[in-house]
Amino acid sequence: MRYREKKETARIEHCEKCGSTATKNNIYFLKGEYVKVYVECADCGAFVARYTLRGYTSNRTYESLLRNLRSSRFNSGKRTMKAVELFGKDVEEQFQHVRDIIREDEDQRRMEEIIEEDFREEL
Amino acid sequence: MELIILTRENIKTLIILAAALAAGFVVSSLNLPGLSEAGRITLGIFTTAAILWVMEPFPLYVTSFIIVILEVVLLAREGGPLQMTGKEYTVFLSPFFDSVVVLFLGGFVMAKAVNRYGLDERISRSILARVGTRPSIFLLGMMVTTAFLSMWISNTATTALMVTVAIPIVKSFPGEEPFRKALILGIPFSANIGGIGTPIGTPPNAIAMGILNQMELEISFIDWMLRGIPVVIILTAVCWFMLCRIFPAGVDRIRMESEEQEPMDRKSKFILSVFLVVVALWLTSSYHGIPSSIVALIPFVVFFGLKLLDGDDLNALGWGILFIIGGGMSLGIAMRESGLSMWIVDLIPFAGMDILMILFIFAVAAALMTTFISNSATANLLIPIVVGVPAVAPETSAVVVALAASAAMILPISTPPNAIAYGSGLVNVRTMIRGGSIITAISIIIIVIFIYLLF
Repeated sequence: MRYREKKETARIEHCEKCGSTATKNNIYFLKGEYVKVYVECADCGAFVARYTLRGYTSNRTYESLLRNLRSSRFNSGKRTMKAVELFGKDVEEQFQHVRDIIREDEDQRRMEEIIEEDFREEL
Repeated sequence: MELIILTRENIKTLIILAAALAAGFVVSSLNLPGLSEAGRITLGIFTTAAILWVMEPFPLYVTSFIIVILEVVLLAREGGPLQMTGKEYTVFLSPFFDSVVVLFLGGFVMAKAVNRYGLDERISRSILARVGTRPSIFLLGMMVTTAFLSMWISNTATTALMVTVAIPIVKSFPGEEPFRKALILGIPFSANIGGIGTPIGTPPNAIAMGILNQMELEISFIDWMLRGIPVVIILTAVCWFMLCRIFPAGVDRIRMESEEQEPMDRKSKFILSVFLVVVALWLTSSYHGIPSSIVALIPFVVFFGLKLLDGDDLNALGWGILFIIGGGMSLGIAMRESGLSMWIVDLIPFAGMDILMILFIFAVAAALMTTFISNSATANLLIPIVVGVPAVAPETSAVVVALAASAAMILPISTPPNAIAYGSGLVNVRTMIRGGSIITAISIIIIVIFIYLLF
């Protein structure tokens, strides 16, 4: 398994009830709280999962970077430049990388198992 | 087992670290007349720190702790050249929780709360909604808002906020309109300038205050503002005038969609109230006698105690910057204790030179350095030296260097705000140099003359 060798894995979210991978994101905003995403099965309407957002990147990456920078502190112009230059490129590359992992060797375990067994320290 | 830490980048880091340590060793081995053994070792540590802060193989705060390790191992160990015993070495650790660092921490907490509850965006939008649509006046409103916010929250965060607000307006101009550049450049420039206004505006201010504190020369919060605010006002006005001249507006009005703001909720009102009370206490510390650093703990206790901020906010408080300030102050102690500061000052032929000329030299050196390296690193390296120059009051020298370290606006790498504006793709390097070099030169002149007259 990829995650045993490389410490990384990926899978597509799916509905526990009907097995569908078609999902809808219901995004909840409350001032002062982290944004929460309630994932709904697009086929049967069941609750699939809830994610708490600590960062957000859209395809308008410079705007996403600005949002991230508003709550972070850089002290070096060089490092900020690096972050600015890499930001959009990194996200796009990571997106393609995750798709490749899923295409080649999708992790079949439940999300809880992956998160709690292998990636607890990352939380 | 795979050695995952030995990546190509980490190997490069280790090579630079080894080179910096080797350079420090070579320098400390030189037989320099008039410099004690402790002074030579400190010069070696200073050399290593300078190389690491310039090359940035790792974040700047890592260098702060390398400095402490070298100071304690080479200078302050039992039987070492500083003749320290027992726990006396903690003199090099104490700057990391110095009163200035605590003051900055309080500023970070307030900035975090203001950001988390959207007060920064609310303030910026409500000011901009009132400045009208004449391009030059709108630019002035934008720059004043940016400068004001960056006195209290980080220059980086302020720039990110204001660029977000400005981008739709900038994009509403035709592509060849020169005033687009004025709008985008006005934000980082005024963020850099605004940081000058308060002790918590930008790290060089704290470094200057901290090193002066160690010399028992205290500058209070209000003392700093009384000198900083006039400089901010004049520099903002000059910068605005220059940008309007260099990139004149080709349109009469700007197109701006005004959004109706929702009324402030209770939490936001409470945070704003605490913010105002803390600032009032900072400004009146000479009347009530509570030190500014202790006042700075109030927002920490209130916001975290009432769960308006949480553990994630605590982790994101910019501890790295506090460590950079601590590292600079720790290096300053070593330079003073070992006699290195005085030795360097004696080497420079300042005798008979006019005070204004000396201050110009300091300011130009700071601005040149900070064009290429971080303004905190510049302050950390220069302030411990300039405060030893006998011809000038240490307060004047330290403040000139701190302010000039915020005035370099020439390249995208000069400051994080410049890098953010450059990242928008709306200005290129040549445009930034064109606007930034003139404003940097004028800023240096104004800073030197004002601080000379005000101290």
